Amino acid sequence: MTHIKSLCITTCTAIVLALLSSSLFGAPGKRSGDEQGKRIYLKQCAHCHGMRGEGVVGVNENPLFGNKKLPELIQVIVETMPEDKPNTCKGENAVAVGRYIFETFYTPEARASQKPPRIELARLTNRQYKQTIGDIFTAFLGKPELNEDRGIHATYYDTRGFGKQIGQEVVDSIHFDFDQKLPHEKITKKEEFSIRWQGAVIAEESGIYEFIVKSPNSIRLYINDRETRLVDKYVATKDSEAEHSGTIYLQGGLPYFFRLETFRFKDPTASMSLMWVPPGGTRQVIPKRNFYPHTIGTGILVQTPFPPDDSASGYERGIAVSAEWDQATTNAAIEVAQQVLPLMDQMARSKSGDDDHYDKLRAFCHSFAEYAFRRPLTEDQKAIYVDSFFADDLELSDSVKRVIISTLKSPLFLYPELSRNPEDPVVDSYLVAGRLALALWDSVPDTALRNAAERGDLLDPIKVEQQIKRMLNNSRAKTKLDYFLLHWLQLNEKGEFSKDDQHYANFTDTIKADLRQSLRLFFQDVVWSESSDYRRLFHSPTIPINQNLAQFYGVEAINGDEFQPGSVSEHADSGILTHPYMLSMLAYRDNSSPIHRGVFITRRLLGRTLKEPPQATELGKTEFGEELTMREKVTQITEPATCAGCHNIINPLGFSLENFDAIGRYRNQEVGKAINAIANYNTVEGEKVELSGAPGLAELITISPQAHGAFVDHLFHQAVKQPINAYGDSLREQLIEQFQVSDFNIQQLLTNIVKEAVLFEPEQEQ
Amino acid sequence: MTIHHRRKFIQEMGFSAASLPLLMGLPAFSKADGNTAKQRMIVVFSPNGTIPDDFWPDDAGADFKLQRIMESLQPYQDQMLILKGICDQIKGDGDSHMRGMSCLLTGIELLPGNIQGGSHTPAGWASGLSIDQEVKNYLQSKPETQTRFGSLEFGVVVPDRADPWTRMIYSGSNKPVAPIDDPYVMFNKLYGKLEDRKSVESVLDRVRNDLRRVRTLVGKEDRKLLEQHEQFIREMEARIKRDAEHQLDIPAPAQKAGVKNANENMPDLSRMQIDMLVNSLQNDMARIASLQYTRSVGQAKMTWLGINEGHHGLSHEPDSDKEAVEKLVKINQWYCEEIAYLAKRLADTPEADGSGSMLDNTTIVWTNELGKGNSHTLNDIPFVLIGGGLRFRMGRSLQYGRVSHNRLLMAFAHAFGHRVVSFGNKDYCADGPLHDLT
Repeated sequence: MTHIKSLCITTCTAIVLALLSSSLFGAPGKRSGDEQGKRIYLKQCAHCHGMRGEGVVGVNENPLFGNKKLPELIQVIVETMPEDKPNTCKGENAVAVGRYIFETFYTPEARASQKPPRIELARLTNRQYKQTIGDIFTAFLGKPELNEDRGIHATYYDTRGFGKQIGQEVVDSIHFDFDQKLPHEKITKKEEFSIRWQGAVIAEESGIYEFIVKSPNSIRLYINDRETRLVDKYVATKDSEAEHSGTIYLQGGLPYFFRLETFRFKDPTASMSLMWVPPGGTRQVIPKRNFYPHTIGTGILVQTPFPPDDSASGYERGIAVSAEWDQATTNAAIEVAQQVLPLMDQMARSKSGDDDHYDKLRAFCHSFAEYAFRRPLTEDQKAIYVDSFFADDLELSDSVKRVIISTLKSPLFLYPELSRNPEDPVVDSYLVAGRLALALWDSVPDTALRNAAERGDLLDPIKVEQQIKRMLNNSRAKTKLDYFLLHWLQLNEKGEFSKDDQHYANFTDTIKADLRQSLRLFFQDVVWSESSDYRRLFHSPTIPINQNLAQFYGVEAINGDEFQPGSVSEHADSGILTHPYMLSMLAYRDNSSPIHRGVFITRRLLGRTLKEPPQATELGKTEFGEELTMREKVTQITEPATCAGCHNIINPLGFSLENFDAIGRYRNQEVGKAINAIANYNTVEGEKVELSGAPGLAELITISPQAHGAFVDHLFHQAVKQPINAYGDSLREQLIEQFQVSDFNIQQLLTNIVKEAVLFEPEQEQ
Repeated sequence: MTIHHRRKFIQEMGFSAASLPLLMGLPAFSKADGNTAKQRMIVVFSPNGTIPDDFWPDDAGADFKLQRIMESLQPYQDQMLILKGICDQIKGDGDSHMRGMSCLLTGIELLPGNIQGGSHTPAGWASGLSIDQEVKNYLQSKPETQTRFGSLEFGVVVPDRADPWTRMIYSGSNKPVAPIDDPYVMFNKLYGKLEDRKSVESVLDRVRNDLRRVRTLVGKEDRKLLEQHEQFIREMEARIKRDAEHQLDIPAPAQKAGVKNANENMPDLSRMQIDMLVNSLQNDMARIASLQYTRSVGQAKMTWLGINEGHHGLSHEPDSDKEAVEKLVKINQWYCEEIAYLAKRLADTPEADGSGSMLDNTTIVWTNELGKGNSHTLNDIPFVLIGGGLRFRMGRSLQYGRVSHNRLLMAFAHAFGHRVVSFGNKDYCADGPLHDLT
């Protein structure tokens, strides 16, 4: 079934078309009108718009950049320019100046062609820095291999002192009211018992986690570190706050040692609830899926805060350095050294007092530096980065400390592209291995990749592709794609929303957290399925839901907290477009927001650029008659000519989702009127199409080459962290085409992106 | 090699992991001006009560003879003030050891809680701050007495558990302050950043060389980034050099390496902590300090004295057990010798500003959570003052007929010019600070 209809091209007048036709389809190269257009622009336009359309301070600061098609642009010039004498620039003059503007700076492509983007030297981003450190030391400490078990292991004692154990079990989560029910059947005394929950907590995203323990009883919480408590409220006093929290940076996709202890002794009440606020998320009882019931080891986790990375291009890049960043790298290096020293003998398999203590620690340092520099050290490098610190008259621990600080401060660690073989600094297998690890994992090569580099395999595209396929199966690739999702759909940027209590009672933080999880699981299901089909992201009658969501949205009951395929409404069949989290995120507190939805779709999914609005108009603060629908309000408020240019694009996209309210519930009426979700949209190609509701929108996105390009761009930039156009003129088109030919296989697209990027050799700079 | 636990280290440094401050650009060590001589107070705690007959001098007044527990303090007798008859009269929840400990410096009741002692009702933390923190806050509020830390809390073999038996310092109601008993952790807190500075300094040369070497690998535009980076490194070097000129007045004490934080190393640990304590005061990092040996109910096993039983266990033996009493005297003598060592270190160290020795401007307050171990009395709590920091009239033995210890705590504050009208539970403060001390 087709949900969009082609309409005829109506946007430009026949006259303009006629004027254009001769030159548009004529021979390329210098055209007769070029000089004329430039002359007119410089004489008539530049004093207000600037030499290259950048605007003039104090006169007109809006750059003359945009996304109108050439005929539309010419029409605007005819109708509005010059400001004091409209309709005097017309005919051939308007076409010439319009084309000059359009081709020189108006479109992003025109601007890009003026100064071709290049691959810039980049340091590790903050995320890459932290993941790299974690993974380097995991290589020495051993990576915990998890099985499918989830939940947390509980041990019960019938005294307050964790004495004789009387029972144990695995529980789903920690959320108990012991006044209602004693923790264990064998506990006989209501007023005295103790409990230890132990195992691991699994982080999904990288970032700062806040752990919140709510209990009127004794509390000791350990995360990752077995010695130091994140929360220590061993003594519970009557007037003590019942809620305590601690924060810690955790790396996504990894498990961390977890222990929580409590005891009750004559406290008037007893309960225990363990919640967290994951990065960008909402507060919730830590769910079963984030607990692992078996004990694991300790990892190295950098807690030092870094100044934010440059993300002016829409993705985080390490292309700038600052004094604060340099200072943060120093602080982090010291912090890492502090964390490593107590574990150094464990990592070096050495023992204080043994004859080979010195040798083993030095060997550990060699190995550490090789991980950090992503290649074997030459004899010279061993001497500089390691041995010189061991030659000094230092305590062994000081030697190790200095090796760590010196290695982590070195540009060879901080700028992966600069870690070359000093004797022959060409692109070699080790460099490619480093690029692969960054692109797919934001980290360092693992053993298999190091071995492949040692064999010199990685200059061969076939072997590189084999490595990529292998690496995609690693949990770090899953974490990276999860990170991609968060950025692509702006979940962290826009994740702070709440709903009006009056209209949407019970839209709790838990519902919100479950919805977010559902969206992530949906994306993961699609990406990691056999077909990995991009189109399924927009065409899917089901999404993962759990009991909580089923109840809230009033659909067929689902048992348990586990997510399983379901639907919050039979009309919500357009994947992420009709996912209630997206619809809620892109809405007002008490109603839908076609503008938020439309802007998001225009920019993120269709890849069109929009100017910032010339005037800030807040819909919420505007007075409307009671009887207007949201669509009518938006139509009315965006009617002025200054708004219409962009809103002609935005509004129809947003209107097509009007069947879904502020929390993504289906509706067919608003203020007593039937919802109209049919809208006419002008494509970039100048085609007018009719969108019939969400399915029409979904179809547009799945067939639009511009949307495909937008997805390729986003994935490329998150993986490679360099502009796609820096990789030659044809790569973008090639990737889009391959994407289409592969039936929109996301994994294959990522494979192609990474393969091309890691093997790319820019032309030598002069 | 000594193990420093990492998050602990960060916590001990007094900042949360998330706000690790800049290593460089440390606030310079505060140099309070030397117009008026400094005043300092060090509270030293040893547990389980004393043996009264071998502790309290028989006579009151200026003419008194030290009993054998305090013999090692003989050289400082004219700088001593021995206060008998000071009683911890705070009632409420918690057993005597708990109240003895947690009310000792706070003078206020414990909050109801979940910690059960050997008797009485369960209890929680003290419901108010301790006098040392009160004075510290006062000194820190004035620029002329402000110091880098304000106060420093040292410990020796304090068990790694937080409860009302192990904490005597409180920064407020329900807010115990943990003493740092690992000398290496304390070293890091006091001098760690300087040590880190040395480590960083030792690698910066290399980093600069590296940056210069890799410059040839990149084009002109990228070179700018590396030059900028190098500039930051140069600035850091300059900053370190500048900071080096603001180094400590007195270098950090040399530390014996690899002393495990365990009972059997108590003699070494004690001296390490005392040396650092003296050095930190000498460098004016703080004016208030405490040194807590073990905890109330402490079970130090002083094998180096030939005693194989735990201290608390022995303290329960009846007076008729002469052997136990003898051992307890020895244990208390050992604690006293450590205090004599501290006094000696202070007496031997002249003030930089020429205002006499450090002992002239420092008062050691040696105290205990109980009067007597086997009776668990909170009467006649040992309070022995040594040194001139509080400007009290020294060289005396005073015998009171049961006065509330709140009044002594008030006198400590008054000695610093901080004229509190009450401290802790007001009910015990009606008669004001003890008036015959000055």
